[in-house]
Amino acid sequence: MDWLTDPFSLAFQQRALLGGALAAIATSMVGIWVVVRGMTFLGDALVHGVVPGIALAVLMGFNPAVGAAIAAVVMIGGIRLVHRQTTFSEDTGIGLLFVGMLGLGVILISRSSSYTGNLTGILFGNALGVTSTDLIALAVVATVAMATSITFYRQFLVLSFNEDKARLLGLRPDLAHGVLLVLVTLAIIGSFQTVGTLLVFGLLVGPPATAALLFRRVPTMMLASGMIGVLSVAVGLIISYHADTSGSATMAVVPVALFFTVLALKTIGRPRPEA
Amino acid sequence: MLALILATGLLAACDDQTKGDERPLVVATTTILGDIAANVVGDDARLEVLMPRGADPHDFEPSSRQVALLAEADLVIANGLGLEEGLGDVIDGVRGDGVRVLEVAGMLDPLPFGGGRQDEDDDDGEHDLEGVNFDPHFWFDPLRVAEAGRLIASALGEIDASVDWSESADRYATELASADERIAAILAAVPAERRQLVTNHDSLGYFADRYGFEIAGMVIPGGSTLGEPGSQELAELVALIDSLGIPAIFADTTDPSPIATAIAAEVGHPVAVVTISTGSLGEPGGPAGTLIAMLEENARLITEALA
Repeated sequence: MDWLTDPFSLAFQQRALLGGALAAIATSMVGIWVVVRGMTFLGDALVHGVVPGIALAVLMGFNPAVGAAIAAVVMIGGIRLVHRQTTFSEDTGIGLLFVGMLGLGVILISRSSSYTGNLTGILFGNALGVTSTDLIALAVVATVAMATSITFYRQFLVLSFNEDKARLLGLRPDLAHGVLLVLVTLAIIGSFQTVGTLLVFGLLVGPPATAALLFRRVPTMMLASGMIGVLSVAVGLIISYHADTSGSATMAVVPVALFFTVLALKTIGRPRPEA
Repeated sequence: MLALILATGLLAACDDQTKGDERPLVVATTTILGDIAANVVGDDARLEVLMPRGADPHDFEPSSRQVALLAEADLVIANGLGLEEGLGDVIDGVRGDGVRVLEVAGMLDPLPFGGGRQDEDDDDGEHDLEGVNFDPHFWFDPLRVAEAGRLIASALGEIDASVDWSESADRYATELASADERIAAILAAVPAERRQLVTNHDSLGYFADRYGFEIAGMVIPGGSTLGEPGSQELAELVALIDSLGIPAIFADTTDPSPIATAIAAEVGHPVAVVTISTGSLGEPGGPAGTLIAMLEENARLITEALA
């Protein structure tokens, strides 16, 4: 079984596995709601929309996480504003903010006379370079994501399946939606600087979507999604080690491949009535 | 999923035969550092190079296997000063695990980026990330390359004192000194008033400094190949090339910018877009197969374009 243990024998590989697993748990908790509620585009937009905040932080010398948080607040505020003040669907606001923020980020990076090498390093972390400090931060993010998902479970559930009913039940869908946005932001910002944008997004959508294909109940989906996410990270690391492929990218591709495998199996098996 | 796991198992079967090699393991990040290191270590160390020839060092991302190589190395030779953008995290990680990492560019009296374009608030050093404003492309100056070879030799001396590494480093330094003379001789054909360079990204600072050229302008701002130029900047660049009558823009083999071609088309007089190797060596035996060959080839191309 050397081929299975070799990819995890060194300290950095164990940190990559642990970091990836924590990111997978954090994003799975949130990703279920993202998939069920159809907020995938928001997730993508947030990953790129925080670029100007981080760029500004690096150029002006304050903590990049603070910059990212400020950018995320601006972005969510903008999206909410468009949604409330117009009749457009939410994705129009997301699209506007996405392009606006990413454009601003590229402008900032290009305007600066300083070398941007380190900036891209901060923007796009690499799971293979996760440090012990990063792991603590990821563990905090995963815990908060899990706790919030459980606390607001009922609100999120009703919100996801029937917003009108949520209003009738006095569950304040607006508040629930706001909390959900904050949670999505937290999960993304909390993990992408350490494990990379591509992997975070892969884990935010891939495992939850696969789990949603397989199960009907949200708690089961969450559990399955977390397990698929952790498994994806492990398999990705094994492939990256043996096939010599880029680490984060391989880990991000695995859950997507898994999704289509499950989809294919389900499609083939469809003629039989579902139990 | 099962198929994936089986496939990786098969791959693992045809794995390393290198165990039992007693020589120190030296891992270089870029092809250029790999060539410098090869000249110093000869057969006395196992040398591995992470990046493939022709790859842009600015956006290379490693595999888990390659990071394992870094983690097991006795010495990692990295460029530093932010050149290896996709590797920075990983190098910091293995250094934290106790691997000896030699980042050469910062130890070679580095030049600031693109003369005069520096921020004024650089000197406090407080918030600045290490070397944010220094140019990492030291290898365009053969004398700095010779010094890099000596740094590598002395780092190796601390790992394995049984080999006289400095002898090969000195021999390489002699080769570089004569290459430096040949390059200067080739470039002598370019008259003083035509020693103005327009480059794709800010990579020829050391070349300009060593051989008395001036960087008149560049297409991509900010030193990295990942930035984007502004419309006004490009308009100014076109005007500059026009007014100085600059006959060529030098683009990189690793990043052939369509913008350079577009600018060349805007200028009133004919402007050639000349592709030179900047960030990576070419195939072995080719015109840029070794660093010395690459530097001489670049000197010839620059002379042809400007003289």
